[in-house]
Amino acid sequence: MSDREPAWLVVLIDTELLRWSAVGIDSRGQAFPLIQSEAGNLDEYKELAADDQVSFLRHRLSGVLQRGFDRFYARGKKASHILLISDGPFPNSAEGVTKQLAEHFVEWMINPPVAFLMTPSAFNVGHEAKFDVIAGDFLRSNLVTLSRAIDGIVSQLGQPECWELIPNAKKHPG
Amino acid sequence: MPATTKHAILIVDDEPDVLFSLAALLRRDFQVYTAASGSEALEVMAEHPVHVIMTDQRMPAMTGVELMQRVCAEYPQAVRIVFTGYADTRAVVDAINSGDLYRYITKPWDPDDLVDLLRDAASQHDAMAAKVELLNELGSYFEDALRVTNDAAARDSEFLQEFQARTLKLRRQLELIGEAQ
Repeated sequence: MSDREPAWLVVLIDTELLRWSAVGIDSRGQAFPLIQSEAGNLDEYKELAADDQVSFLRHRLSGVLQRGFDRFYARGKKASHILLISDGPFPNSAEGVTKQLAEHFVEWMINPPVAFLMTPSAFNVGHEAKFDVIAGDFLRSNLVTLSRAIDGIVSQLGQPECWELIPNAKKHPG
Repeated sequence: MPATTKHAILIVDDEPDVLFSLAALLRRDFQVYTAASGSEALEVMAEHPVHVIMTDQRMPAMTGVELMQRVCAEYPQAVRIVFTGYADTRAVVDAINSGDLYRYITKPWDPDDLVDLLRDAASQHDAMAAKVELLNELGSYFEDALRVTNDAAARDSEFLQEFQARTLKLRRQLELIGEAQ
């Protein structure tokens, strides 16, 4: 039985910069920045055929979750829920990619559970907690907590000093 | 292997920060080696005894499954684990059919679970090593057992002491095999 503190692991996917940021939200609703990619980290999907777009994004985001789990471990936290949140559909992607990606994670990962949400551009969720649930379950009552936490972290997304930067890897096939 | 010695684990991934995180997580429990590619991994294995090798599937030049095929042929006692970001069905089938794997695991994993898995893998290695040693020794052991039974001259105390020690060793090897099953 782990004595690590449960927290939500949130991955914010900026669809304009094609950059991801992993954030923890503790049981008091406090958000803490963890790691962030360089801009363009996700852009490889644009060069791929429709089926391979989902494959690439699954693989890349699984790696993000792994890093998030590792950073949680170092902080004595344990992911109790995973939230993948994009601020729009993936631009220039094949039809249905975002939905397929969301359903993959929800079906594939059971413990902890996953929800894939979408917000207005730039994660502007406001006080009304404007989230669309693309796949997975997330309690409506938790959306307000999530909304406040994201609202508090959005201003830090453009501040590199707040994050551990994960540089883009060299591109390779497959 | 002696109980005080750490098992040697080789982690293979082309993403440096993943290697760094894993090494930091595992070094308390294991002797950790890292490699950024399949060819680098084979170089490490040529230089150091490795009990468990764990590799990413998606890497440039040599995939995890291709690496494990080489490892299976050249270092059959090394316990082999492939991990990947998602279950690519073909990769899974290839891995199981040709890589002779102990486990195929998917990211993300919880660090505590990974440590448990690697401990199990290390036990599996010890059991396989014990099995090989047991099979190597059984022939001469039975010959000596027959001598003890049939040849009064063989029943001097030095011979019997040695025979008893071999019996205890074989028993321990059988226990190791049993523990891993």
